[in-house]
Amino acid sequence: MTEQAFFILTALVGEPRHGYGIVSEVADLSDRRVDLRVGTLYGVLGRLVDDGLVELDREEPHQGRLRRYYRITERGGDALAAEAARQAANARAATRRLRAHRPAGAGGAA
Amino acid sequence: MTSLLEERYRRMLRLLPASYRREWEEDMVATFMEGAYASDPDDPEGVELGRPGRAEIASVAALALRLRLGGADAAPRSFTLGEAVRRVALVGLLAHAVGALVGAALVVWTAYRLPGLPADALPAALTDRWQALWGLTGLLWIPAYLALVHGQHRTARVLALVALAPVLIGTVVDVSADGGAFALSRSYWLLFDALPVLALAAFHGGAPPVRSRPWLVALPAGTAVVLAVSLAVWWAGRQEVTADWPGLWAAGVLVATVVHAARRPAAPHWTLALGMLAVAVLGLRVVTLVDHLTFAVATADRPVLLTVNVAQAAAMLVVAVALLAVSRRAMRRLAPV
Repeated sequence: MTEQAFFILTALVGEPRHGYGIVSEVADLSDRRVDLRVGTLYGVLGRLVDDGLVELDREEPHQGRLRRYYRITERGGDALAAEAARQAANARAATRRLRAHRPAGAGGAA
Repeated sequence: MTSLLEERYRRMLRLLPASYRREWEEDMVATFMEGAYASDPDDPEGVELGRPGRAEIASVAALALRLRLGGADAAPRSFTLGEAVRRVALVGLLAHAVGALVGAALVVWTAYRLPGLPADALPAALTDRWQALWGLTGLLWIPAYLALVHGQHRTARVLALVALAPVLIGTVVDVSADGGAFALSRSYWLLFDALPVLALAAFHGGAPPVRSRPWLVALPAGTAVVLAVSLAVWWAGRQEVTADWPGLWAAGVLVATVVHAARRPAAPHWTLALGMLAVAVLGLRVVTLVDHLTFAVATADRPVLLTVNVAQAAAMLVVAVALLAVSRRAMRRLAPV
């Protein structure tokens, strides 16, 4: 799973969001590190919809336009949970190694 | 009323296939416009007069490329087009790598004065040490090709661009040094050499892996065949006439087309890829012939050269028309993007 797909799925956990809602939520979740462009967002979103991980929730009029809201599916939730567990396991392995081989306090904020 | 910014954004979205736009365009525009207003909430009128930023344009262009040159999960028509362009990249980089190995073999052969090579097998320029070293920069194509075959797409792109740089510099230097003589064919050669590098764009994240074994075998096999053909023609004393690089390309495309036509069922992406290559080689043969007739000193061989080159161009024309007609019919039967 790419980092973008990971953050888009994470942004949809708990509540359906429209396109711009996803962009701003992903920016918040990633501390502004992941800045999704519209072409990139829809490229990833299209694949997530095709794979059944995300689906259309509803359409709502907003300032003369139709906003489409997307929600994460059951399968999407499972895929995200599996990916989060994998990343957490990786992080734990790295942390264990670092604790064993580096003096306490090294590598922290300067 | 539609703002100027929205109009410009919609114009840019035309890069995307029509069927995709029908499904996603309105939503993309809504998201884009909301982001644009949010970036400068105090000046909505100013925002409406703006243009989509470079990063936005790049993201839409990348999406268009991915949709049109489809990967493994794309609709059949877009996948076939993607596979054809990926084959053009593979064949083109293979040819570059083979050319580099053949060139290196000839340089070594000459440097160590090994027997068996005719005195004029190497162009005079390459017998100079620095020129020979410059010629060896072509070897950069080999790691680019191997990276591609092994699925390292990003590395392949970087290495191919590095390998193309000496070609670009060489073309500029040659064209300016000779006061514009052979400028047409040299510029075309540059485009021809750049074609597989451009085609590497089809190796995006969704591209299926390449079966590496046949492509790995093709490198030494292709080198042996080209070296053998070149030496055979040199010994026959006719290298200028029959076995220049455009001639070898034409022969290669012709043989590949015959082999491809004998296969049942023929893979539609190979039909299209060979059609594209035939068009490119036809152009190469025509411009090199035109430049030769314009700038080269007439020799006794000229009538033979003319006949051979025209025959090669005619063969490429027939092959290109036939393959592209067959592909067009096949593509129409496939589901679109």
